[in-house]
Amino acid sequence: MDPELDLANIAPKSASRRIEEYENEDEFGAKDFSKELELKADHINRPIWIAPDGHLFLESFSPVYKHAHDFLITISEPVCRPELIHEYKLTSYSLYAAVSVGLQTADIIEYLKRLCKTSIPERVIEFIKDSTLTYGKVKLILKQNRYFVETRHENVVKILLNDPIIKNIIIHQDLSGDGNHLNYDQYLANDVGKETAANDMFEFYDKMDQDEVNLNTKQKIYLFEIRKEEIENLQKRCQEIDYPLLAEYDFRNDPNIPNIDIALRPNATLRPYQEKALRKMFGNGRARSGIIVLPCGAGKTLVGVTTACTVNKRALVLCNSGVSVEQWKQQFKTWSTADDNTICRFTHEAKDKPIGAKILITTYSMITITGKRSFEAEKVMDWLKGQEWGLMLLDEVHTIPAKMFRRVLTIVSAQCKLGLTATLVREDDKITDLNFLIGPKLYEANWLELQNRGFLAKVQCCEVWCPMAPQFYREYLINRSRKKSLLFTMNPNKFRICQYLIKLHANRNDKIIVFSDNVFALKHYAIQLNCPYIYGPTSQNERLQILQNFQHNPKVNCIFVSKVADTSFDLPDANVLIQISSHGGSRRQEAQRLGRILRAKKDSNGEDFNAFFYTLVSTDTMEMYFSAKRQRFLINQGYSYKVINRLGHLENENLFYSKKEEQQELLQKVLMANESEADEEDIPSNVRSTAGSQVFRSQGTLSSLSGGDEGLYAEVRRGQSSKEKNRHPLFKRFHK
Amino acid sequence: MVKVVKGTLVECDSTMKQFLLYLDDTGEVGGKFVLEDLDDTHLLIDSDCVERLKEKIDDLMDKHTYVPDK
Amino acid sequence: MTKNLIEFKDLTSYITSLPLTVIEKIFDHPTTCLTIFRELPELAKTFIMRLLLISQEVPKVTIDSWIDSKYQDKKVETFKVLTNLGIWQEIRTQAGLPAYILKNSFKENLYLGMFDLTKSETADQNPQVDSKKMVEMMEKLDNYAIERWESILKYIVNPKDAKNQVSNSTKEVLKFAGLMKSVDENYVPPSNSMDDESVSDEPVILTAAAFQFLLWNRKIQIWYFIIQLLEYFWQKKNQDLSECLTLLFELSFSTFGKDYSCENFSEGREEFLQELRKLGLVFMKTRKIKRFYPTRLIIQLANGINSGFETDKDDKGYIIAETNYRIYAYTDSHLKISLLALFSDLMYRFPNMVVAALTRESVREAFKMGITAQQIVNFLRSNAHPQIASRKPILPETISDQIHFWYNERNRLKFDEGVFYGQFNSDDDFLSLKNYAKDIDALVWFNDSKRLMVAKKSSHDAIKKFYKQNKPK
Repeated sequence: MDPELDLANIAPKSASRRIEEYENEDEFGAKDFSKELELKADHINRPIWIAPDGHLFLESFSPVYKHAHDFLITISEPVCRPELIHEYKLTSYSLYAAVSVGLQTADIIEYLKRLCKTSIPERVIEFIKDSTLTYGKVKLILKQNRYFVETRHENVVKILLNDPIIKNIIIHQDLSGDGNHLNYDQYLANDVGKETAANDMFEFYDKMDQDEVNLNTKQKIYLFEIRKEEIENLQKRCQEIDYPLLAEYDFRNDPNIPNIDIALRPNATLRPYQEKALRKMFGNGRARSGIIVLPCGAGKTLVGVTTACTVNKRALVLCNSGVSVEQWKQQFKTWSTADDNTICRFTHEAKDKPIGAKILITTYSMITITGKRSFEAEKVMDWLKGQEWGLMLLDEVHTIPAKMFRRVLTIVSAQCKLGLTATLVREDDKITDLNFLIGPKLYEANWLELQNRGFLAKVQCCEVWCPMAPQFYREYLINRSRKKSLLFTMNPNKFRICQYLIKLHANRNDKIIVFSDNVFALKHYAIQLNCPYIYGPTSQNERLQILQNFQHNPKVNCIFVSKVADTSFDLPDANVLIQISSHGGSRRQEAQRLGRILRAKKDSNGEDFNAFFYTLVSTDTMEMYFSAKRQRFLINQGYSYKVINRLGHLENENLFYSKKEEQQELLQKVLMANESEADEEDIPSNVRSTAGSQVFRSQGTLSSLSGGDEGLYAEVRRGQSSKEKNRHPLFKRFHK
Repeated sequence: MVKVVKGTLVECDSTMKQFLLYLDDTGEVGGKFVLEDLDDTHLLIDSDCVERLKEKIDDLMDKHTYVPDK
Repeated sequence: MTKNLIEFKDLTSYITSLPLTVIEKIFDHPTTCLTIFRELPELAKTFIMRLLLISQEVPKVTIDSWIDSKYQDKKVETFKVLTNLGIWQEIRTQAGLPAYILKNSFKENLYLGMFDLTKSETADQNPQVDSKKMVEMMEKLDNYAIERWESILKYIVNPKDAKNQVSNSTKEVLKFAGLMKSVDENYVPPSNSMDDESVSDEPVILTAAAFQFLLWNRKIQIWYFIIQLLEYFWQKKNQDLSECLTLLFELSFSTFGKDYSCENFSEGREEFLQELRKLGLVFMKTRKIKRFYPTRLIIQLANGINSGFETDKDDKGYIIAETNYRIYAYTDSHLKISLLALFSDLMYRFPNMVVAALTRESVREAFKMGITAQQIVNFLRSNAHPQIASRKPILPETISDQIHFWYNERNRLKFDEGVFYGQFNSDDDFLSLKNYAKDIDALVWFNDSKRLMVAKKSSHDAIKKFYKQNKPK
């Protein structure tokens, strides 16, 4: 039993609280609330419906939509947000988030009542009360090098002071009278600070009613000092008694951790939604821990950099790949005054000196490796562990396995934790625990809204149906599943369509990226079509060259990439994405790939769509199933996939595999391929999101940056010259 | 003598035809039901097997359809 | 019969489709003639008026001279209408020239109808009518009509629901009209006698045509039903159609809010009136009291489908279909909800809104009933909520495309019983048989190079015969 993991394993009991299942089904199999809910007379003016199972529906065309939307995002989780009617759901986590930005139970219920077209179901009110009763009531504050527990609720004071463990942690001030009776008033804070909820909540309040809002300022504030060394125990105990501590870092008043003196550059302009997110985090002058959810390509990094500048204390940035590390460093340098001395990278390759760094950027795997480290690395880890970090930024926090994440929390001691992610969705559904461990969701953006405002490119998502060539289908039916996937990826019709699309877009001078998780297909397609490609073994230099060329050379319109690209490159100018093979049914991956082309295009020429996302699926195969699964997330954000099941007259185009013999030849090649070729690329240093996968490898095999010299890949092992093998034919010309 | 075979003419796309041949091979529809392989898009099959065949085809379609849970 | 939309836009055009013998009898009543007259095109009316006032026959050339040659078409059309309706007939003058004269019964009764609007059988109204009471009555009648019609529709959608009571005769008409069909072909009714008021238990289900029917707005639905009712009375029950038609014509002249006597109705009329009552088109307090109130709809419908009609507030659009396959329907009407449930999965029901999801399974259930993808798409479009009425396209493309894809899935394979012929000894043998099959429209597949062919099963005997007759020696 690892004592370190003890704390990290606990989420508040109520985290798993769910609203009761609704049994009442009518003759159509629907949940019928029409009898138990009462429609209000002015229902037309109200924008939401609330179902007894905690689901809410919002009319986006309502005049009060904006305020209602803000409110709902604060207290609930979006389920789907297409054009007109949104769906949300109340969960204990979402309500936790609500109270942590300052909303009280009564407020939440009151405003829901105002917004709802019908009466509010009893069980929803109960659920809200139960979930918010104990959350957000207790805060942990670091002030002037001393730690305080703050609460505004007298009953909570009593509970805390009477709790056997907590009362020993509290540094009592002069006890009055006999030892049995504690005077709570002695803990009243002298300066009643102005605690305000985030600004937009106020505007909302103002608009909703003219009455004086009972500002928190009118409440009494109780403050207890606690012993610094007991903080962990305190946190643990508070979780146990269901009063999770809200961590707020009073960074302006922390002499303990020195300032690092970085500031945001003037050219760093924040977009409205980025500002909103930051306001939620810094609303009351302190830094709240939590999670900010922004679509891919919407500028998460800038938000992270701004946070680091605001907190201005020693910051640790965790990424999920070596290339991300590079990206973050670049972004820090671009947007802030931090320079090469301030920013250090802690990776196998970087030659920076991490110890003593003000901003340290590293990967999750780097700091959670359990095996033996190099001497240098060990020293860095020791130092890292011993530091009090002001801020820890967790990039793409939902891509890392739960276990790894918990380790991070036990290793790093940070005042404020900010998780950045594009989706709160995890395939393994470990959302609840992790979210409670980082903190509440501070902000979540609306994809469609960002698109409509021009912050994200308008994307036409297409699912292109590629009929299986008959012989290929025959083999598909009789082969095992691994071969099956190779067969539907190598479907000659798919190849032809891919070729056609590339030609089409190249003629428009678009920049095209083709994704293939499967390496066999990747190489085959790329080589046949004479396009550069990047996959695991591609050396760092070569990658950079290819990417440079892609960006700046008008003759290079199209590159093929493998899974490595999912977590790495930043290509703002690609506007066409073609997927020929992808990983199972991962929603997150689909969303991320879309993010590649979501960066807003500067000039859209007034055309309707300025970016295109094609996913090619072979019909009548499992690929259809997986494709539908992957699309769920994006569909819930309001995107729709146009199905293209006929592509003009491909016979007239000059494409490969038009003859049966050619197809047959390809089939033979595919059938002869090793079964393992059907697997996806194995990228050890990248962390996968499948639960429980062991991703720790020994140090020497970081393939994402180094060339294939580590012997990971089968071809390399067979003794061919790795350099020669990895160099794309195109480059052979450049390098004589 | 002219060969005469009574059955059911099936017209479909060439991919689907492969599926029917596959079912014929594996006997999932109760033995061989393909009487004549006419061309890429046509088969003559045993009329008695039509219903079972339709079921199998429905199964195939179902298999490739993803249904999100509520 | 139900595929084409309403053929007859008014009673007159319906009548035109009837045999002359039937039409003749209709002319026995002034109101009928007057109504028909009113609905005729202008030129026809002019002809009739002139002929009405000239008591003898009018030579064709004279009539021709009335019209400028520019309007030849209109003239020809008018001649046709008048002839088809049997309003006039062609005779020969003494000189042997073609001439026209109005049918006597028509002439007399039109005259009466126009110039002497005296009693029709329903003319005895209560002289004193309290206007306040009348307004109350009007509202009551409106509600009654809507409720009764809805119950018919609900029955169509959910025949098994015990709450939906519909009389046997109405069920018969529904079947006759092609809106309902038997589930079990071999159903035998239990031996206890069934009179009109009790309910038949035969399991029935709505047809694909019914779905189309349900898509129409109420006015058109009822109009269609009236035509079907007339046909039913005429064909199945051998009733005197003129009785029914006359009643309808008279209703077209009645005043909404007033009641009329049916004391002296013939049996035929009485029966027809009762059917109209079951549909909610007329209201009777009880069958015993021989008075009835026409409802608004029947009065207007008897005047033709295009007669001025404020749009039913009931028929406003209420559906929002989203790109994530969700349907939000702003309604609490059980009928509308039942309709939605035919092709979508209902998820939540709020007091004024229903949340449903379109899935492959749910639309397939509808397809099995014979509903087509186009019908579902049309339904969603034509009932679109005002909020999205200006959206282009109203229904997201991905949704309409997908519904069609799911529909076409069912057509990926075509099955047809057939007979295969192969192993011909020569091209000639093969070709002669093949061409014969083609000639009798039986050839479904062939391959010249391999000398193979497939023909329709139904033609096998003919082909066998041909082969035997032309067998090479």
